[in-house]
This record gives sequence, C-alpha cells and structure tokens, in this order.
Amino acid sequence: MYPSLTARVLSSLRFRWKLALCGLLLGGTGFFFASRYLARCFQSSVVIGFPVVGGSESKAVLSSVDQGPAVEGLVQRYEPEPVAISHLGTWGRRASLRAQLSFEPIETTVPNSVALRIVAKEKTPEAANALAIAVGQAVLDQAESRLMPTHSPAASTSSAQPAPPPSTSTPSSSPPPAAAPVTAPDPSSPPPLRKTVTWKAAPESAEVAATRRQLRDQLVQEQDRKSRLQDDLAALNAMPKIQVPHPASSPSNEAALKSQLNTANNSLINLENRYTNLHPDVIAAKRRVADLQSALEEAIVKNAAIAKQDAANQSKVAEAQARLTRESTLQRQIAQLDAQIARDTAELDKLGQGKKTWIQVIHYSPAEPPVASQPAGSPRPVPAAAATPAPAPVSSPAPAPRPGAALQPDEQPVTLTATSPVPAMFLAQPVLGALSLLFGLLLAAVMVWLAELLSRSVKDAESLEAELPYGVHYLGEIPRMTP
Amino acid sequence: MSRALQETVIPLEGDLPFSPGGERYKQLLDRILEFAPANRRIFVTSPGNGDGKTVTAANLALALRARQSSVLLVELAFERPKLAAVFGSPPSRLGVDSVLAGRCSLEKIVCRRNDNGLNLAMAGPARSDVDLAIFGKPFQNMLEMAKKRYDWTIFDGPSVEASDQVEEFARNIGFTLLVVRKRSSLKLLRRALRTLDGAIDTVILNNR
Repeated sequence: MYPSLTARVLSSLRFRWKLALCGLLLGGTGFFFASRYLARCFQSSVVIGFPVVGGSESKAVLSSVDQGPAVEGLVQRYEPEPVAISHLGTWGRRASLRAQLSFEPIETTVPNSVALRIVAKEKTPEAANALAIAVGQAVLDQAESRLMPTHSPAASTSSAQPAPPPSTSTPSSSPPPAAAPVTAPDPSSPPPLRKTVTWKAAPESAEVAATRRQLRDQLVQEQDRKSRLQDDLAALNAMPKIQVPHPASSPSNEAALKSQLNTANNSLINLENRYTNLHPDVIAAKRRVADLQSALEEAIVKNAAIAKQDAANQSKVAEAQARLTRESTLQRQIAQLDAQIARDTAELDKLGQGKKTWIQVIHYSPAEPPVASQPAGSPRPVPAAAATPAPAPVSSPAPAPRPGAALQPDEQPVTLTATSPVPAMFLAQPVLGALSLLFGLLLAAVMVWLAELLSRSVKDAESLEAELPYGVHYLGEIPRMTP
Repeated sequence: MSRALQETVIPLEGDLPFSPGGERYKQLLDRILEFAPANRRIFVTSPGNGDGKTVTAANLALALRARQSSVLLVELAFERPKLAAVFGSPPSRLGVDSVLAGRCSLEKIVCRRNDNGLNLAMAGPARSDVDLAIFGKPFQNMLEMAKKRYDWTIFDGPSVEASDQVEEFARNIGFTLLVVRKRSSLKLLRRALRTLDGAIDTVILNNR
C-alpha cells in the first residue's frame, strides 16, 4: 500500500504542485520562526589562561583538553551538584552538554602563555554562567593535574574558598563555590603546594570607568544642590508669617449721595420759588439738604481713609505672594532634582549590573608543615593565611619559562576569566534554514499525501474499474499526449 | 502559448503508425472492434466537460481511416462544438442541427479533409435550444444515410454534465464509449453511470 501511495503522491505532484508549494512555504517559514523563538538562549564564556611550562607541554595539554574529557570530567565531578545539568540522565546529559558547549583555543597577548575559551549556552543567564564556570573549573582541574602531576588536586590542599563577589555583583555574575577535597598530604611525596583560589573582578574598561566617574560626580553635584535648596526652603519656612489684614469696610456710595443732594437742592429751589422760608416744606427741604451734605462729607472722609488703608495692605500682600512663589519654585526644583538623582542612580546601578568580568586566580605557595596530631583522612583546618589570598597580577606578563621545569610557586598563575552571559541561539542560522527547508518539504509531502488519500476522484484504472457496473468493459488508458 | 489556445489544439496521432499515441489508439480500436459495434456506429461521451471526447473521437476516426475505411465524424455537441477548432471551419454555415431539424440533408453538410480523408459533419454554431424533437425522423434518416455511405460513423457527443439528451443519443446510436479523464470527480462518474444505465458498452481512461 505504502509504495503505491508514495508513487501516487509523486505522480500527483503534477496536479497538486500549488498545495505542495503552499506546504513548503508554510512549513518552512513556520518552522524557521518557531525554532528561532525556541532556540533563544544565553551564552556565557570563560577563558582559561595557562603559562607555557616545559616547552610545548602546555599546548599539548590544551590540545588534549578537548570536548570529550572536559564533559566527562564535568559529569563525574559535578553530578551531585545542583548545576544546570542535574536533571539529565547520564547519556542525555553528556549529549546535551556536548551540544551546549564549544571549546576554542585563542591567541593571548600575555607572552609565554596559551588560553582556551569555553562557551556555554543555556536558557537562562544564571544557568549559562553556572555551566560555563563549572566546565571551566573542570577543565582547569584537569589541566592542573596534567601540568603538575606531583601536585594533583587530590594531593594539594585547598586552603581557601573563592572569595565572595563584591556587594555590587549580581547573582548571575557571581562564580559558584568550588568543592575541592581537603586531605592530608602523603609524607613520602614532594612537599605539597598550597593552592589559593581567589576571585576578583576584572578592571573595568576605560569607557565604563569614565562613565561611572562622571555619573558619580554628577550625583554629588545634584545632592549638593538639593541640600542647598532644602536649606533655602527651610529658611523660608522659618521666617515669621505675614499677617495680611482683612479688607476694610466697603466704601460709601459717594456718587449716590451727590445725586441725592442735587435732587434735594433742586426741590428746595422749586419750593423757595413758590413759598416763603417759613413754609414747612421749605424747612423740611432745607433740613434734608443739610443732612445730605453732612452725610456726603462723612462719606468723603471715610472713603479717603479706606483708600489709605488699602494702599498700606497692598505691599504686605505683594510680599506674601512673593514668598509663596519662591516656596513653590524651591519645591519644584527639589522634585526635579529628586527625579534626576533617581535616574542617575538607576543608570549607575545598571552600569554596575552590566557586563562584568570575574577572574579566578590560583596561586601555589609552599604549604605549612602538616599537623602530626591530626588523624589521617580528616579535614585539615584552613590556614589563617589562606583567608587573605595574595593579589595576583593578572595582566602582568609572565616570567620567562624554564624548559622542562614544572610550575613553581608564585609563578604566573593559572587564570579563569568569566564574562556575563549575552543573548545567543542554540542553533546557527544556516542550520535553522536547512532544518526549516527539510521540515517544509516534509510538510508539503504530508499535505499532498493527505490530499491524495482524501481525494474523491478517479485516481487510476483500478479506481475506475471499481466503479463500473457489470457489463461495462474497461478498454484501457490513453497515454498523455502533448499537442 | 496561452492556456486557452493550448486547450483548443488537440493532439491527433490516431493515424500515425510509430507514435505512442497512434499505437495506443490502434490498440483501443482493436479492442472496440472485438465488440463488433452494431451498425458500425460509435457514440463517444463522457461524464464531464473537457474529459477528452473530441480528441478520442477524432483519433479513433483517424485510426479507422488508417485502415482504409471510410469514416464519418459527426459532431453532436451542439452546446460546445469543438470540431471546427480542430479541423477548421466548414464551408457551409449549416450543421448537424440543421439536418436534425429537417432543413437540409446530410450530404450538404459533410465536408472531406484532403490531408487525412476524414469526412466531417460539424455541429454548426453553438446553440442551447436543442430539444428532444431532434430524435425524430430526420435523425433516423441521418443514421441510415451515414450507414449507407460510410463504413464507420463516429459520433462526438455531448457530456452527461452538459446535456440531458445523452441517454437518448446513446440508445439511438448503439455502441457507446465513455471517456473518463484521470483525476475527474467520482461524483460525476457515478452520475453518468446512473444516467446511462445499461447504455454504456465500454470505458476508457484518458490520462491527460
């Protein structure tokens, strides 16, 4: 059934090429974008630097530290640890790690040294960072045992845990603690070296440092200005309050009194023309005129007093208004400064949380004599001197190598540099494209196959003959002819 | 070449001795002859339009002509006549419909191609008002005349989808050949088989 169906699908491509093309485009683009979305990850890298000891021995070590042994070492060493690989089975864990990790020897600017870059990819920045540093640690241990066979990690004493990262570090950029075993040394072996492991933040780039310095200066200036403004505001509030008097009584209506007086005078003149001065109406009119005149004089005096009072109040009101304006201006400036300070602080924090580089420095120094009274196999107490590891000049050039000699104490240390994770993809773009094309072709074939399976048409001679009633003869098929 | 023009050009290989198409049509003709069609008449029809009736009828006529038989190719697809597009327009405006209407005789509309010797009776201009009255005496006269004057008469009929008169044609003419195009609808095929129940003799599959 299946071969004939496959052949039918292939032959039906002539009729269903539009459907196939649609499936190819739809499947290909859909797969491509879906994979791009799902393959998003974060990439973290560590760089391990080795001094060249004993001629080409270090390079041989680097070339031998390929992907396989490193992963094996990681699996064996970190299996019980809660790193990002703990949820995988043994085989799947290795396969997954091989897909997630890449190893690349790189050129170094430090003379007489070689370096290896390990790139790890994970879904979250924290996991990528943890994986990169864990693998780097595993490779480092392996390289140490190869470089210094007499001072293998089992024989050496790990005297210090990694220093905790500075308070400005973020959880994503902090290195994981190392889990080095602590055992008693073998008296027959050469004098053991004490291994001191410290983590230090790599110096910032000049540009970042300049930005940080500028931001800090700006913040200091803004704080100063804010404190000055706050002092001004406090002084303003401490000044005695201005008592603004209540407005004086309403002024008398002088114009109305004048008009009433005119009217009274006119009526008095009319009465005097008609009557003598003894007529009661004239007497009453004269009394009214006199009353109005006295009321008008009082009103004039009162209005003058009110005008004088208003003039005196106006200066106090203007002073109070000026003080209020000044107070609101100061408060607005303080609010603006607060906002600016918050922005600058956030920017400074962001600068601190940005790409940060941590350097693990390992020093070997002569160990203190073993404590005879301590039982074998029990952990030895950590020496006090180890708590304060010696500073390691990472960027200083290494001393000239001595061919054939092993790594000596206080020589150029082995370094492990970790960088903050950056966004990346699990699969490269060309691989995604090829997979998308493959998926598109598959979908097109499936769509044509389904269409052919569900088609209700005369597909071939068999399907035609199956429909024919008894007595009707099938003669044959006419081949395809082109005109 | 445009698609419409391509569809009007019909491959004619029925009389070619060494072409695959010609050989296949000769084989089909042998199979048809085994059934000894009554009155040496073959009616070609199909379930749907564009299934290849005209190309089959023309190539069978050419295959018969290659055997030195005199052949008359009669077009009965009045609604969708195609022979004029294949063999060129006839000199007369009268067609088979005029013969069936009793306006003229068959001799007046038959024209003969000089290149292949085919005798053609074309349908005339396309028309859709053909009714069952055509199956009267003029139709029987045409069949008798064709039988008398030609060895074989091949009728290029309408499709079951396009005409309701296919069954009548099939029963009057006799031997019916149903042309089914590959990938055509099963629904149309079943409808044609129901319509022509008992009137179909042979079926061929056209792999266009």
